[in-house]
Formats: sequence, structure tokens, C-alpha cells
Amino acid sequence: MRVFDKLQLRIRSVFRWRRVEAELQDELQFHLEQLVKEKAAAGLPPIEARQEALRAMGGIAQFQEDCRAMRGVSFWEDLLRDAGYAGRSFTRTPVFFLSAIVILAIGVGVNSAVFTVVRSVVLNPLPYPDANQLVLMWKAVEKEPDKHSGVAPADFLDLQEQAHSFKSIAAFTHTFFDVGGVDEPYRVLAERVSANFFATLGVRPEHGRDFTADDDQPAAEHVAILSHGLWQTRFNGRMDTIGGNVFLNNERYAIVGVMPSHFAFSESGNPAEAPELWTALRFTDERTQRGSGYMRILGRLKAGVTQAAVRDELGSVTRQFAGAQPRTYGGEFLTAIPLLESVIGGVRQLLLVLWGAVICVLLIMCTNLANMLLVRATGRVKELAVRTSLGASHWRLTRQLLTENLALGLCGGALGLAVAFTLIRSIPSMGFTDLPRLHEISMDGWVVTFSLVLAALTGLFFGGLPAWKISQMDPQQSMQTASRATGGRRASALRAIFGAVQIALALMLVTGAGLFLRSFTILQKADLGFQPENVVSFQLPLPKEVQGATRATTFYREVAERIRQLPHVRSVGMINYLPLRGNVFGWRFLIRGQETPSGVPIPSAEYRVVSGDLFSALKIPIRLGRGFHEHDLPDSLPVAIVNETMARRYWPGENPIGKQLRLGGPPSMFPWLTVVGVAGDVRYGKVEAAPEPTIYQCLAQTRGPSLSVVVRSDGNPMGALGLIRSQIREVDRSAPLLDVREMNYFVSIAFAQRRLVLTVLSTFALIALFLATFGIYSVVSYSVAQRTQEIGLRVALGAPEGSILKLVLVQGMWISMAGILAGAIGNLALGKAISALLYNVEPTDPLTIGAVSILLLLVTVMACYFPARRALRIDPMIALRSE
Amino acid sequence: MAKPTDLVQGTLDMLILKTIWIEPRHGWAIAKRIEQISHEELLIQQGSLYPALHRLEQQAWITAEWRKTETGRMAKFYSLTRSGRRQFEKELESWTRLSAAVNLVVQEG
Repeated sequence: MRVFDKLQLRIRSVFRWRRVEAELQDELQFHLEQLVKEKAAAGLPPIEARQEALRAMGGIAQFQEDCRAMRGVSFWEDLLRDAGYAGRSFTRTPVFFLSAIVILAIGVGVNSAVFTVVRSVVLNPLPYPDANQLVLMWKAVEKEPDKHSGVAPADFLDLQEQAHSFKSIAAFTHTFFDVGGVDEPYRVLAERVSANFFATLGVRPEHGRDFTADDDQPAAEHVAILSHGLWQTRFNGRMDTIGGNVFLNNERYAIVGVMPSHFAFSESGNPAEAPELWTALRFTDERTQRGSGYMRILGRLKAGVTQAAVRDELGSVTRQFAGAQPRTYGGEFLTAIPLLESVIGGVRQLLLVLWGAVICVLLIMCTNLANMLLVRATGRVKELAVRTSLGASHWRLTRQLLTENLALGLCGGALGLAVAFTLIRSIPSMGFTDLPRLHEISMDGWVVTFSLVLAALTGLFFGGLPAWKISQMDPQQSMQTASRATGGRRASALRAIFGAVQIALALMLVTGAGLFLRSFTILQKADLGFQPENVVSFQLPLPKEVQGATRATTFYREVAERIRQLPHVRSVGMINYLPLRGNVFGWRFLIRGQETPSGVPIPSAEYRVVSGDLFSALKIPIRLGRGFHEHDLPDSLPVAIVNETMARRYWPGENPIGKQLRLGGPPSMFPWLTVVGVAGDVRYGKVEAAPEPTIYQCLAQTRGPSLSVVVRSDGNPMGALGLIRSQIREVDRSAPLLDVREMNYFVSIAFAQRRLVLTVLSTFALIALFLATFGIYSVVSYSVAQRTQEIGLRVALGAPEGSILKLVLVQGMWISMAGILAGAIGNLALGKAISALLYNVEPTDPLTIGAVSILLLLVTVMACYFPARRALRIDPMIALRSE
Repeated sequence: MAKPTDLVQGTLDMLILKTIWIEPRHGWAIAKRIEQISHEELLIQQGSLYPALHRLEQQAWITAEWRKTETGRMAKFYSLTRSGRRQFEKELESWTRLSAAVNLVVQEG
């Protein structure tokens, strides 16, 4: 009950404080009246009685205040009043507060946007139930732990039986399917998955059913599940799709389900690599296959099993495998990493660096803001001093300043949220297309809290610092000196430190952007190994009636022949996987005369099948020997061309021409190939990755895979496309041209992410540079204003212009130098974090650091120039009289 | 609540509670009553009286009511609540113990 009464009183005090105040007033008034009556009764005349009574009562205002304090609500009342003051001072200097709020909003907004991305992509668990139990498994090479390969089907089945740390183990493998039986055939990225794949992830189809164990039986009907996107675009989202059929690589599959729209599984995290269709594995003769590993393994751990325990168990499974197959598992071992690690591994570093950059920007903004607030607070010394001598406590004043800054912070934070929201909305259109988990990026309560707390703390801390400084001042001294607008030595030292911190942070950011720019230009000059200009390419899958190696050779030869006849076409070639489209997988090979000791993994190389004049179509130089020609036929000598890296690595100091190698580990089913030429290195994988050893074979001497066509013309490469299409139709009416692109497109895609990061970082760096310049400017110009008298006196005493200039410049330079030094030290400390993202540039690159330091010094001089000019124009008479 | 060492303040609270034990009084009357009973030994400063009253009210030991005085003027009358009575007994007990203890010390030897 008492609690209830108390609560009621509090509520009354807060919400009816006018009434409560009036009552207090009345109560004290009554007391006073009684006192007057008493004095009068004692014989004093009325006026004297009243004066006496007032004197006896003492400071009424004081104990009114005490009564309020007793009510325990003065805190709230003060807060309201402070908020009122804040509102009034906001409206008194709107430009100042607007610019402060805008600065804060940009800082907080950009920060929250990047934090949202970091949180959604790096920190949040993947969108599967108990996602931290999911791991990916593969085979890794002991000597090159970064290189991993898949697991052979038979090994997957053994692993399922032998590993006990898992609730379930599923397998999947990428493949392409040509979808036929429709007017316009198309190709989809698909995954063959074991029946328990979706169950292991913990996801169910949105419509229809999941795969069942029966679907995996060799005799089972072919079944497929569609992605939501494919269902919508190609099947118009019709419900009767389920139960219907789809023709994949000319075989009929029953469609049994559609996945939910948010489901986008991609082990690499690249949304572009998320499959659109899944089929059941349905092992037939693959069941016993141990030679080549192309299955990716997904496991769900039993609850409480640690990553270390899993790796231990996989180690012992590896030993069992190695006992049975020393060749394959000699130098290789099974390992597992969390699925999240695999999905975001590529961008974690990048995002964290961006976040670091954005925090730098925020800090610069904050120090700038603090500087502004400090200058402002200094201007208010007099006001505060007056209030102190009227009895306001230091705490009370500090709190008032803090309330103002908190209000400022919250306004900035709210606006910042709007900025963040806009930025996040526009992320999909920024070209971050291969960012993992792109569609999962969204703001949540945490981000909103983060932004508001960040803004409030920024306001409180950076605004509170000057407030605290001011409240520490001696009011009397302040009263005397306030008119001279000084902020005291300590305040100006603080401003100088803020200025230096800004320069240091700006240096770090600009250096970072500079290093990225250097990497980018070096990379752009890097030799890709081919000339992309004036080249168009498209995939040309073999039509269904063209089966067998001989007919495939004839088909592609005829297509090439017809295209070559077209006007403006220079040369035509074909290749199974185009440059820059990614290394596919390493093929093991043996070199005649070079035995690989047992226990050492057999060397592997990228493998490309080519046809026509591929080397001249892409302008890949032949360094030694010859290219392929029409006399390389199925029954002639099997030949190969290797790239320079391969020649250097396996025949160092020797002529590789005439040497022999064969594909596939022992026992090899392939014939010995004789090396007839050495081609220049081509970057088939990432631009920044050094070329892998590569073996080329000509189509006529292989089993005849589907190829991509490359056409070089002497003008606009897309110009001849209509003619090319009709020529191909002449050869085969049903042959589709897929993914028609200029070669330059792949080049720009390959640079896209770097270009974007460079743009974002340079933007941050520019903001930082601008703010730091402004910071120095405000410090120097404030100090010139402060020293107007002193400078005036100097001028009056005949100081030359140079010495006045020096006076101003030296101050700015000191701050700048200190900042540059601190920034350089910071760079050394943080260099490691970005070195992985750079290409052929050290984080300590002297050129970049030197250039940036000079840039900052120039900027400092510029920032000092205007205040210095103002100092020179000071009229000694006015300056001295201004006191 | 008054801290044990906070003798004066705690005492004032106790005196106020005692003064309105029988009947509700307003601030002025409370001050006068204490002065009168203590033979003017204890003079209550308004500066401590009113804050104390407000504090006791906030603690819900006393409750206030606007009533007419005998002269017809409205004044704020304070009366004890049930928890206020309990609080007084508690304070009286600790006061008795404390003063007995102090007596023992100062009268020893």
C-alpha cells in the first residue's frame, strides 16, 4: 500500500508539478503570515513585522528548492527546464546547431549503414535453424592448406558411416543443365544433392515436397526441386508446375517442389553462384568412384560437438582412408570449417576494413563537433559565470550543458538513422553484386539502438568534454576575462589536440585509399594474358542430337568455318572455360620420366579444351613451338600445349617441347600427350591470382565437351552477332547461344568489387580530408581571433608581415606534424589488417605515405592561409581599441 | 530513510511524527508545538522543517490535506499514516537505545 501511495505522490509531482508548486508557495506563504502575526502581536508595527518575518524565514527560494529536492523529482523538473534551455539556445543559433546535427547525422548514418552490413553479413548467424552446427568439409593439401578439393562419391558414403560427430552428412555438387522442351532453351546453374541435403540445412520446400531417400535410389525416377526465382521467371509461378516435368540435358525430370524465396544457398556466399535448381544425386556407377573428388560435403554437428572435435574425428577418418588409398590421401586430409566461415570468408576482412574506415570518419566528425562545441562553450563562459555566482552549482551547469548535447546527439542520431536507412536501401544498386548474404541485409532493433546510443554518447562525450572544462573554471576569473573571449590555455590545448587527432585519422584514411588506388592501378596494368578488345563470346552447348566426340568436333568446326566467312570477323576460336571466369578444378597429371614419390601429392593443373584459332582469337601469344592445327586429329599424335608457368615449374631450364605428360592420376585412362607448344600465361581465375599451370588440348583429340565461342572482329564485336546467330541456325536449328557478352564485360566484372571498394574508401578519405582541413582551419582561425590584440600590438610595434605569417603558420604546422606522426604510427600498427586486400603494394609503401604526408601538409598550409591573411589585415588601432 | 548517524535529521523526523501523533497540524503549528514543549530549547528552522515535511510525505509516513484553520485561512495539515505510526515507534525505540547508550558512556566514572 505504501509503495502505491508513494508512487501516486511521485506521479502527482511529475505530472501536476504546477499545482504542487502552487501548493508549496501557498504553504510557505501561510507560514510567513503566521510569523508576521506573531511579530505584530509582540508589538512591532506591521511593516517592520513583515520585514522581520522575512528575515527570519531566510532564503525562501533556497528551501523551496530543498523541498523540491525532497520530492525527489527535481531531477526531472531540471531536465525539462534544461531541455527548454536547449531548445532556446538551438533556436538562438540555428546555423550552428543545424550544422552540428548534420555532421553528426552523416557520421552516425554512414556508420550505422556499414554496421548494418557488417552485422547482417559477418555477425548474424546464417538463416538456418541452429546454423552454428553447420560445417563444410573438403580435402585439403597438407603443403597448401588454402587449396581444397572435393571428396569422391564412395568416400562420401564411407564418411557418412564412419563419422559420429554428425547428426547428418549431405553431399552436393555443382552442375549446369540445359533446359529444353521449351521455345527458348536456357541453361541453369544447378546442384545435384543427396536426399538429406535440405533436411541437413533445416529448410523445407515452400511448395511440394522435399527429396526422400527413395529419390536417391539408382532405379528411381529423376526428380527436381526449383528455386523460387526460377519458378517465378520460367514457370510463371503456376501451382501446377509441381507434378509437371522439365527436360534437363534431354532427360525428363519430375518437378516435386519449390524452395522458399529467401532460400539462396551458396557455399562461396556469392549470390551469383546460388543454384536455381536441385536434383537428387541418384548415384549409379559413381557409387564406387574414388578417383576424382567433386562432391562438396555439408554436415550438421550433434549438439555440443566442437569444431576441434570434428577436425580430430576427420583426422582419424583420413587415416583410415589413407590406409586404403595411400595415393589419394597421402598428402591430403579431410577438414571442416563452419559454413558461415566459408560463406563470408572472402569479404570479412574487407567489411571490417570498411568499418574501420567509417569509424575513422566518425571520430573525425566527432572531434570536429567537439571543437565547435568547445568554441561555443567558451563563448558562453560569461553566461555560465553569472549563473554560478547566482548560486547554480557546477553540477547543475554541467548537467545543463550535457542535456543540450544529449538533445543534439539524439537529433543527430534520429537524422542519422534516416541517412542509414537510405544508404541501406540503395546498397543493392551500388554494384556490390557478389556480396554474400546481400538479401539478408536489413536494419534491426540492434542497429537502431546502436545508432542512437552512438549518437547520444558522441553528443555526451564530445560535448561533455568542453562542458566539463567550462564548469571547472573559476567564475570570478571568468567574469573578468570573459569579455576577451579567451578559452584559457587548457581549452586551446584541447583544441590543438583535436586538430592533431583529425589529421592523424585523415592521414590513415587517405593512406588506405591511396594504397587501394595503387593496388588498383597496378592490377589494371597487370597482363591478363589475352586482349579483350573487340571480342564477343557466348556459350554454345552441343545440341541434343550431336553426340560423341567426332560429331562434336565436326559441329564446332563447321560453326567456326561459317563465322569466319562473315565480314569484319578476324578469327574464331572455342574453349570450354573462358578466361577470368574462375579456375575450374585441378587435373592431376604425370610427367614421363619424373616419378612422383609416394606420399607426395601428384601435381595438378588447370585443363582447357580448345578448338579453332582460339589463341589468335584471344591474342594469347605462343612463346615456343606451335599452336594446334587441323592435322591434330583423333588418330594422329596426341599433343598438348602448356602455359609458361607450367613450363617453368616442371621443366625448369629445359625445353618442354617434345616432353610427354598424361592426364589423370595413376592408373591413367588417358594417353600420353606430347608437348608441342608453350602459350603465354592467361588469368583464368581471379585477376590478382597468379596464373596456375595450364594444359591445353585440342577438341579433336578429346571426348568433346560443350564449348564457348570467341569471335574477334575488327570493329564493334556485337555488330556481327545477328549474322553469327543465323549462321549457327544453319548448322543446327535448336542450338542456343547463351550468355552472349563482350570479353570486356568479364574484365570489368573482375574489377568491379575493387573499383567499388576504392570508390567507397576514396569517398571516406575525401570526407576525412575535408573535415580535417576544416578542423585545422577552425583551430588556427580561432586562435588568430583570440590573439587579435597581440597581433595588433606586434603590427603596431613594426613587426614585418613575414613574422606575423610565421606566427600563424607555425601553430598550424605543429598540429599538422604531430597529427602526421601519430597517423603514420597508426598506419604501421594497422597495416597488417589491410595487407591481405592489397595487390603488389606493401602497407608501408613509401611513395603512398610520402605523397599523402605532403598532401596533408599542403592542406594545412591552405587551411592556415585564410586565418593568416586575416591576421595580416588586422588594423592595430582597431585591434587595440577593441578591448 | 534517515541514516543511523544522521542524528539531527532523524531526530527532527521523530519530533514531527510525535507532534502530530494525536491530531493533524500544519507546519507552523508543528514548529510552535515543538518549541513550546521543549521550553524553547529546540527552535525549528523553516529551512529544515518544510523539506522534512515534504520528505516524510514522500515516504508516505504522513499525509497532507488542505483544511481551514480556526481563522478561516486554508492551510496544509499533516497527519500520521499507519506506516508513519510504525515508523515513529521504530525511531523512538532506536532513539531510546541510542540515548541510553550515550548516557552510559558520558556518565561512566
